[in-house]
Amino acid sequence: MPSPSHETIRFRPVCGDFAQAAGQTLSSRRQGSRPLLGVLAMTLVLCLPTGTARATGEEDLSAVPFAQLVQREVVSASTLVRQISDSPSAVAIVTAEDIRAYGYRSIADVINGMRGLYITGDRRYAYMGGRGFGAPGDYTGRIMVLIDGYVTQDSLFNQAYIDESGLLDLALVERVEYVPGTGSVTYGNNAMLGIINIVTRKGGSLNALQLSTEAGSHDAYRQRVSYGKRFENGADVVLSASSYDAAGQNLYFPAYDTPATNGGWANGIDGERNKRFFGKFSYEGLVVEAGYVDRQKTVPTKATAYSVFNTPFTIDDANGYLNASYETDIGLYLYSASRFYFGHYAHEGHRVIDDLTTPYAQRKHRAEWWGLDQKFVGKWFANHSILFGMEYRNDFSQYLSRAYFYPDGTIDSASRVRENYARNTTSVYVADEYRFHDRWRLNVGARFDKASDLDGNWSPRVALIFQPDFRTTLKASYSEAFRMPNADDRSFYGTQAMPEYVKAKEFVAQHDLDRRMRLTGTVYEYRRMDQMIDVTGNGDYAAVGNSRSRGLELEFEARWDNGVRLRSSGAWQDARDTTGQDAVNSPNVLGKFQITAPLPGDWLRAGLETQYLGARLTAERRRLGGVALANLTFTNARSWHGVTASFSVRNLFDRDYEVVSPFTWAPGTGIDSLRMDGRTYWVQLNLDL
Amino acid sequence: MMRRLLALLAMWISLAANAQVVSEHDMKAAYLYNFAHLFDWPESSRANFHLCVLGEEDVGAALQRFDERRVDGKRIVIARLSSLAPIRLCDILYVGVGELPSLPKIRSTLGSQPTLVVTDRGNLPAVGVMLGIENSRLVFDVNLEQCERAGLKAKPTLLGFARSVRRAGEAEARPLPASLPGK
Repeated sequence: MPSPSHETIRFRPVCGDFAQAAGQTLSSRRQGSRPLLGVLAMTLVLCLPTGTARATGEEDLSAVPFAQLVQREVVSASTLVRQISDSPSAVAIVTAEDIRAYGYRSIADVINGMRGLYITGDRRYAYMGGRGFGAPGDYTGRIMVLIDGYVTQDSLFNQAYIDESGLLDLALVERVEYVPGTGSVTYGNNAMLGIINIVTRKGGSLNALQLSTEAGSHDAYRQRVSYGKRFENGADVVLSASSYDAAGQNLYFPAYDTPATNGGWANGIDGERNKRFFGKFSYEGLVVEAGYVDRQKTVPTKATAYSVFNTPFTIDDANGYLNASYETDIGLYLYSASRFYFGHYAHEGHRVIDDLTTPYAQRKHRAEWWGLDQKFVGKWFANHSILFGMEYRNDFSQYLSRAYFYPDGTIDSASRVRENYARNTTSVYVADEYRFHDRWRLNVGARFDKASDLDGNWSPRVALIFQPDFRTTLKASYSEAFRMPNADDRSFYGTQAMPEYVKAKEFVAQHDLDRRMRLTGTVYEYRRMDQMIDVTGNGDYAAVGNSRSRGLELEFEARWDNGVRLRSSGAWQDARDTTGQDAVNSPNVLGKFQITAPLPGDWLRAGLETQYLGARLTAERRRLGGVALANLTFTNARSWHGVTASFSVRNLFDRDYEVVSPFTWAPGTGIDSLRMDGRTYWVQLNLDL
Repeated sequence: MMRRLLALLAMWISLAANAQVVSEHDMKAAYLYNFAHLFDWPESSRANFHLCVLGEEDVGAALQRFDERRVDGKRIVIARLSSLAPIRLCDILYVGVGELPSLPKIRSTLGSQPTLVVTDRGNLPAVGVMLGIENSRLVFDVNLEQCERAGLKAKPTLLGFARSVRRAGEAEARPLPASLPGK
């Protein structure tokens, strides 16, 4: 039996005093914000536990007799959603119930509600931005979007598809985690800004054959059928198929308001359609899952320099994948996760161009890849979690092609360009989480990636995590990430195509005020290196550009027992481009406010979301004013005879607003922004059989 | 503004470092450690005592401080599991809420071998000990039928502190009366 101990509770003032001292030193001196992270790191270092701190501070519960333990009051674990990813950054989480409560329809909607992130749409794709990333023309790149561990970006453009061209219907999503900060230490290539981790639902949570129909403004309709079940023996199945069809709108573009270009109206060329399929089977540690999406969109803007306004410009993107993984423990101390994946991407684009002899242009791109990943986590030592593994990825087919066509539809063979690329990458990684004290952890890791066409590269990360008590976590990290030139870069930049790098420093503080409320604060700095820039202004590109961005984000979230949930955040960012000027399409301020509550009578739940997108610069360095938008959603709180419904209004106050256009579509007109939709409506009905 | 924020942050650290309350997962870990002492374990050929945690990282982390302590002269080894594969090696298996759907599988894997299954809430008939929170106290129910099937003998001290004890043949766990009526 444990022996009784003195019930004296003693404090550990060591760290607090130093922290206060550090804070005072800082406030007493005039300092720029640059040494900020250094000081924070110093604060952490000064907080390093000493032998005495350990002896006096920790109450040893093992020495308290059981008779006394059972009398002790405990503080229940937080009701707030816990992160799955073990990452030294401030993870933001959106769950299936948030998705429903706020009427999200795409991953882009989910991302747009997250701290410090924003979406720019150009009626072609939705692009993501944040922390100085997301320059116009950069497809949703330099970010990882994972579905159950599968990296979804295509292997030609490294683009992540987050709109209707994305792989998943949101009804199949259990949660979305945004892990800010670089992730090359874990994922290698391309994880520069952060990781979006999508976890799909289990069949058991669906537990029905679900029929769903949706209707929205501008003649948008979606039908979906999903089936989910968990069987007696533990096997779990999800199957789903859906189809989406939207007629779109007639749109007015002031830049083309001339009689020759239909008075600036693009009529009947805003349609969008997609088809999606998804299946997942899991049994014990085995998960086999596959998804496919084919999206066709007509682009109503004049999306490239040579295309002709108010003519059909169609794009077709297809993405598919197969991911099979097996997780198990080998004995008590070794966890193993093995994974095989296969990916497919195909793009086809048709457009009318400003050329009399060959007025039609076509682009056809296709890529396929597969890979194997074997990861272990060793827990042989009580205070270490040692992660190690290796990955092999083979981008065996990367095909890019473009050609012009004569008016009669025959190809101009001389114009045809066909390029084939390939790459295989071998990577090894290792990381150790060392719990060197009850309240302190040190996470050190590195990943080495060697691609067949590039020199090997190390991506290190070191993080120090301090939990002064179970409600508070402080994390300081330094990491490096990189991005290999993709097939499109290799085609465009030729031999000049080089890897790009980023070095990131981040400090995170998280504090649970009680079990229902949490505050999160983070300060970061990213330094990017070897970005491609046009050295002469004549298309002579070289990887010599450097830039930096830094910022601060604050978030408050709460989940009360009466069903009210609230999340509110503010982000301040200062991002520079390679010339040292304010970066384009990078607002200095971003604000998010979301509240959802059951309405009296408990029949309905309302979800209100407001987003503030601060002033930002267009490609021609014109300033677009900040805009606040509100969305309102009503859902039935409980299923009624298997029926669930929701109704959403987007842009509730019908604000007229513009976003930065990712292309300079009418140079010299002074009009280089894109007008977005006014108020729109959307309803969804689900029937569980 | 940055400077003020920093000072605020520093204060926050110092305040936070001084707080001393017992969290749910620290207490769960302490209970599990005590359970190791509050049962008579059958003779086993293993040199160590295996205390396994499945599906609740916080409890696993809190248990680390009990690593290498001793019970019945054996060294306690903490194992944080990710799957059901090695559960037959466990002397105590703690199953967090997230892993409760796997309980039938756990039962059939363990059969009648001497492993004490402890869950957070869940289904008492299927486990040896079930934890719960009541009036800000961590409480537990004991299922003697399951314990006996596994060849584990609960010490009287344990039963004395249990919220309820379920005995063989009983359909429902009956809470013990708080005090006896009458004189």
